[in-house]
Amino acid sequence: MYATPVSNLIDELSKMPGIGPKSAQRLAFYLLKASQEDAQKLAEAIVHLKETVKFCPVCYNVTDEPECEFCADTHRDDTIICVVEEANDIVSMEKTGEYRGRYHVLGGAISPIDGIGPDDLRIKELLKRLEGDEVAEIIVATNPNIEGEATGMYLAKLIKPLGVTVTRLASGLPIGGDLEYADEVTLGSALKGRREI
Amino acid sequence: MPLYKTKGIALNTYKLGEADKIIVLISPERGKIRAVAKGVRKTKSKFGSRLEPFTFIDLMLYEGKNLDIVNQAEIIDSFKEIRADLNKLKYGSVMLELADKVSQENEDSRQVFLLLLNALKELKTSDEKQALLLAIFELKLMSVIGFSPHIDQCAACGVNTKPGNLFSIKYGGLLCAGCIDRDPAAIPLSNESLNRLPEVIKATSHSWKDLDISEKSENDILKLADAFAAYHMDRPIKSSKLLNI
Repeated sequence: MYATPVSNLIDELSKMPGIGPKSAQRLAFYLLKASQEDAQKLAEAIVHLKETVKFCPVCYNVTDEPECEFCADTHRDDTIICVVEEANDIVSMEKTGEYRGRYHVLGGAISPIDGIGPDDLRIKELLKRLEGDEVAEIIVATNPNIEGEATGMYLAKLIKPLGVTVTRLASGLPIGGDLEYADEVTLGSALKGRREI
Repeated sequence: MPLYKTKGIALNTYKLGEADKIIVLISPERGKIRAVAKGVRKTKSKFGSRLEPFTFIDLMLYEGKNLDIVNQAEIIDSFKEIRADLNKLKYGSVMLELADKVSQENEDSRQVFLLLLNALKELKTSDEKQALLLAIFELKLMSVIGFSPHIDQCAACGVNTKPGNLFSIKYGGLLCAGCIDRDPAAIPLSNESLNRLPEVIKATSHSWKDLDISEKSENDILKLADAFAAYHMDRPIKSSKLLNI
């Protein structure tokens, strides 16, 4: 139907998440109309991304340096490690401006139903980081869903005997929300985690 | 789009698009339901934890062409005791996976639904014998879908009424001395497991806790039930591989 270069591009674009054949077609024709310079920039950005970005050997965040910015920063607290599921969760944690410790990216969460176990995650690598006496606390910042909770419980079982404190992010009411709409599990956990003011 | 109400237990969820999820549920009247929960991954979603796996929910859904859409959900029982205990969670996950595999869309699933609900209620309050509970669930589930294990007569020849201690997954039951060679992969059972097997198969939600059975036999029977279920499902049960973590 289309000239080969156009249909090749449509095929490649439609492999991306959330892009169906129709959207791929629209993007391909947009690129066809775009200036040579813009198209070149996009192509170079993709190639550059694949060539330079890799996993940080310490925390497995994505980085284009030998170590990611959070591992290389000497002003951060070495005694706390915040464990997250994916690299983009680090960005969410950083936006809070409340955390100055180190990170560790697991690359997913334990999900028995999907057959994803501890061996599929970077848990051995995390244990290796605990070998010195430096780390005093692990903050489990996995998602507050069943897989995230399972991962948290598994990590606690594994790490607590090593004498390291394992904490979990509190779950409760979102700021700006209405109590009336809170479900009983969330509200119950907010009640359990209440604090003195 | 017509609205309908049903009760259901959430079995599994899949991420969909930016902030949505597909929720797989089992309901008594409509069997398996696959429904989209819009925006459920956002922290301020009105659904909150109501659609997490294990939750027993009262639902209102829009009937869609392919997938239904969740409109309202209220928790009947969140089974949070299962979700907050790694062991219970592991055994419960196998139950959910199997219920998901055996149920079909638009098919009356009252028996599977009630079996799952009762098993989850038992699991919620049981701090021991969880392996036995899962084995009972697996064997009962197989019976519901038409694969009762044969233990009263030889599963291969159907004639001999005194089968031995070899359980053949392929033939679906115990083999007699004359039929041993028909399935070299048959699993040998210990005397205790063999003696307890009829009681395990007949156990009810009231009686199962009183079964006097050693931990070893419990695990042996679970292995057997697991292999039996996996054979009839035509594929391995993913979550039972993680029972040892």
